[in-house]
Amino acid sequence: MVNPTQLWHVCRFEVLRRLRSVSGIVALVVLVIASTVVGRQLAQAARMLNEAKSSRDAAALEMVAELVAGMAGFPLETVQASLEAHAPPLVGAFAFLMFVMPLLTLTMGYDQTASDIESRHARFLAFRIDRVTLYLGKLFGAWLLVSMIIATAAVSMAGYIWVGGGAMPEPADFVYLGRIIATVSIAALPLLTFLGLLGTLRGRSRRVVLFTVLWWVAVSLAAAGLRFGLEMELLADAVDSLWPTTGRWSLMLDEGGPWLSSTARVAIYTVVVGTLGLLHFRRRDL
Amino acid sequence: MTAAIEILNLEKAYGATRALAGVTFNVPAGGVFGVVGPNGAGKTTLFSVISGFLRPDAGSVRIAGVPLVPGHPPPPGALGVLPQDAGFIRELPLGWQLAHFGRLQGLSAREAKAEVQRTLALVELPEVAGKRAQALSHGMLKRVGIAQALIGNPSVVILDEPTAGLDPHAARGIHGLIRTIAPQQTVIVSSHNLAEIESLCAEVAILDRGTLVRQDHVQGVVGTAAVLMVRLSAAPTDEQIANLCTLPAITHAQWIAELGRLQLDFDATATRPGYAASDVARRLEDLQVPFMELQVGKSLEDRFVEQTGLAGHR
Repeated sequence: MVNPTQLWHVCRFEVLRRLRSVSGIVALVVLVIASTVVGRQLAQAARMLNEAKSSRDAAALEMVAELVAGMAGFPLETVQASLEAHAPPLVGAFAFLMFVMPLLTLTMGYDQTASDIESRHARFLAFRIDRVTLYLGKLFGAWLLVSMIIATAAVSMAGYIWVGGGAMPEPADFVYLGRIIATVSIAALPLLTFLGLLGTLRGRSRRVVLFTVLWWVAVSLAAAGLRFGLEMELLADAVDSLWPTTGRWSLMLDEGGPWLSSTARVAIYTVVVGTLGLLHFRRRDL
Repeated sequence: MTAAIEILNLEKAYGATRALAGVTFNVPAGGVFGVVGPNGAGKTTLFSVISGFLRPDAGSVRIAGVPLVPGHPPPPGALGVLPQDAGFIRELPLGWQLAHFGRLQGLSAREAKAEVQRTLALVELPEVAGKRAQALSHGMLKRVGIAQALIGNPSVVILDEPTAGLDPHAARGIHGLIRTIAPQQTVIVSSHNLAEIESLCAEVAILDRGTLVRQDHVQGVVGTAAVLMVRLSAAPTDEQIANLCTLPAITHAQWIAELGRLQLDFDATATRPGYAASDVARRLEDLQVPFMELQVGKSLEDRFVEQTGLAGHR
């Protein structure tokens, strides 16, 4: 049913198309600037850590710990464990990428099928290839693009940290860098499938963005109301999990229950929402 | 010989509206086939089902003998389509988009590039490959749309309203293009311009409110009646009509105001149509009634109005 060659052609076309679009260029420029700023700060932290190798509670370590804890919403002790296990500036880069991932994914993934349905460009494609191949090709194209940008930003920041910080990277640092790229890319999948589903349901790219923002606000408010107003923690968690990137921070942890449950959640959300989008796209009029 | 397209009991409804209500007909292979009908007749829905854009509620379609699976594309290389309202991506070079279509059809990068050059040359726009869609006029985009339908040399080409919104010069260019490609491929054209269909097509299907009203050769549709249709700039007087009726071959004459034409019935067993037409032309000249057109048989437009009951609709 799925033609791998056609899937690759659609995927590659989508990547090149987005890289030439205004939103794609703006997102890239913003991410490059933000990565440069954060990379410099992390390089400075790396330099300070290098100079105070013997002291565990160096000011630089505290700076990174607070940065990560602030973005992830983790208690400081949890962050400390990660900082002890890995190079602290890389942990900071991990947290930064996880922080910007939803906005990056929204920018690059909001228009997988919507504008093609709106302009009926999809009709030029639909008599040439199977709809499953078309839908998956566009989804994978958006994912590949997000992953490429995340990888570029991660490698750039690591370069800043290693060159600017004056510390030689160890093999474990390269492994951790690979894990950062893979984890953030995989964490983007639920949001990408959510955007894909909205695209085929709404068929208008602007409405996809609007509905995504409304969904985020609605889920956040409902979960907060249940948690703090009615003290219904379990139900609040269930409502919270309707937002695609909920629980992504736990993927930064090295092991344990939260990491496992977040990984399972990413897989389930991606499969369920992705399948719903695919089924709807197969049946909808183009 | 296998029909290019076989359509059997096709049904499609939008809520309570039946866009296609059991349409059945075959499109013969080769030549230009016309599909005509008033707004809402189901032409675009029919094309959308054949092209795989819409799933039919019931019925089946075969393209070159191969059954179309609902919701799936037609067999590779069988069909090229110019959808009515489909647009190119505005900010990307057209050559790039066309090459992408070629790759999706299984062509190699080199073949796709060559195919883009061939089809753009065919529509006389070889220079637009590097241009973006937003830089082209409506007429040029229609031609590029036809070029994309011809990529890979499909055996059947569907053109849904190929001249809609075009000026007469651009429309004439498209007519020439359709005549150029028709000998090699089966071309199916829909249009509101019935004179266009009449001049282009060998055979037509007339749809009305989701049903097939008639399918026949154009000559069969327009030429069976023993009538002369005369287009006048003003309505003739009763005396002039009575005078025309004194001609030996003419059996009846009446002015059809909604068509702006004088209809003259003649006895086809006693007089050849050409002689009857000559007699009428001479008599109109004697009566000093200027006429703009004299046609043997009814035009497709007249037949269309009769068959679809359009006059009754108004």
